[in-house]
Amino acid sequence: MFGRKGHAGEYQDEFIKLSFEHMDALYSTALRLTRNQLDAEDLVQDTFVRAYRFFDKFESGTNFKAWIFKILTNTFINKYRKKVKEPQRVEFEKIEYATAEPETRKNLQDQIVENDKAYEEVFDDEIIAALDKLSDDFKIVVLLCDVHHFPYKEIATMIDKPIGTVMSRLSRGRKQLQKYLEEYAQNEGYIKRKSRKHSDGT
Amino acid sequence: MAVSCEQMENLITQLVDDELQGDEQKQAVAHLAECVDCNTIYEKQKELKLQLESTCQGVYAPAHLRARIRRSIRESAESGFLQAMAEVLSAHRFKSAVATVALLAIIVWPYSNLFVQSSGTNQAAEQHDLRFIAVRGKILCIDCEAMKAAGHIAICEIDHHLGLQDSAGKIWNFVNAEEGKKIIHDFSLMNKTMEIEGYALPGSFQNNISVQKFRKL
Ligand SMILES: [Zn+2]
Ligand SMILES: [Zn+2]
Repeated sequence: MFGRKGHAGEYQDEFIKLSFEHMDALYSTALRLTRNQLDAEDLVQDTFVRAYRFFDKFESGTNFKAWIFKILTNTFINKYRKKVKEPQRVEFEKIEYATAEPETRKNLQDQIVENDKAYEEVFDDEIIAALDKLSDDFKIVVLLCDVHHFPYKEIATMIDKPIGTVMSRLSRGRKQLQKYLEEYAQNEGYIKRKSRKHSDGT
Repeated sequence: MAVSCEQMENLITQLVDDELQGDEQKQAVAHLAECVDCNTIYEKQKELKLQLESTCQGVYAPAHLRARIRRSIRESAESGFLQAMAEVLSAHRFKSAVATVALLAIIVWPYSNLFVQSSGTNQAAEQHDLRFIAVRGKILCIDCEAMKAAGHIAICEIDHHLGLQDSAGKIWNFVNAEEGKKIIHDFSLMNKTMEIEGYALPGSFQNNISVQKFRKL
């Protein structure tokens, strides 16, 4: 049972050399997906154990980071997603993702532009709260693209969906995030209501 | 303009991600130069991308996780059985503590020899320690109490370090998980009686609980 040690030693070293440099990236992704430290640690550990088990199937010369991220996202989808508690998660389909009417959207943008200095003051906590509200399918794509800079083609392979799906999830996901952040900013009074400005002027 | 604002929607996403090439890229860039609306959308998306990146990249895997993973890789190399065990155990962490303990008792016992052989601190024990518990007691400031106990005047002034003292006098430290954060920073809870549910973390120097749920009593 313990007989493979000599050869396994090098094999193990190679795996550790390739995989450990991505530990922080994998952990930060796992933390955003599971939304708590313990599950994130378990998810990362599962990912490494699986990756090690299938390491002989990894084609050397190809992108190891993409390969191990695929294992992370698959493990999350298959094993953790159902277990993570989802407090007051609203079904995405029921939300108007396009920030309501084009007219409203335009107004919102005007407000942002008028006060873009305030908009830049978005803190980490708000970004995280907005991400937490995003549905898993969108969140995965947004994290892979915006945080880890994987090209669309690689993301498509990771989630086993066509590139068109990657693009649409990305653009809808970002719109959702912007909407959450704008709502937050408005609640906090960072953005002055445009209507008030108008009534002053006219 | 060769491209309409509607067509730009998709192109903007791709432009932000550097996924456009050739004519498409030229047309999109030309549109942005002339269209304030689309340019605003573009700038906002770029800004969001940067914010996401800086927020999520500032997170580092804890050192104990590296150690744990290194160990589990070593163990899975030594024995395919241990690797299967790790999966069984971690899958069951999410079920009731009772079930996990029962499962451990049934599965681990006959193989306890094997664990001792393979490494000093085994994974089973580590995971076994992570049990789901509920503690009740009074919220206090751990640092202030420590100062008082040492005969000093205890004042953290603004930044208290809240914890819970149970009826046995044990002081529980809230690990800074998502739920834990809410209590740690809510000083209005000082001296209130509360029930905290979460995972008791292993460690001998203090009682740590990773907070999953809490309520005032
Ligand atoms: Zn336009
Ligand atoms: Zn204090």
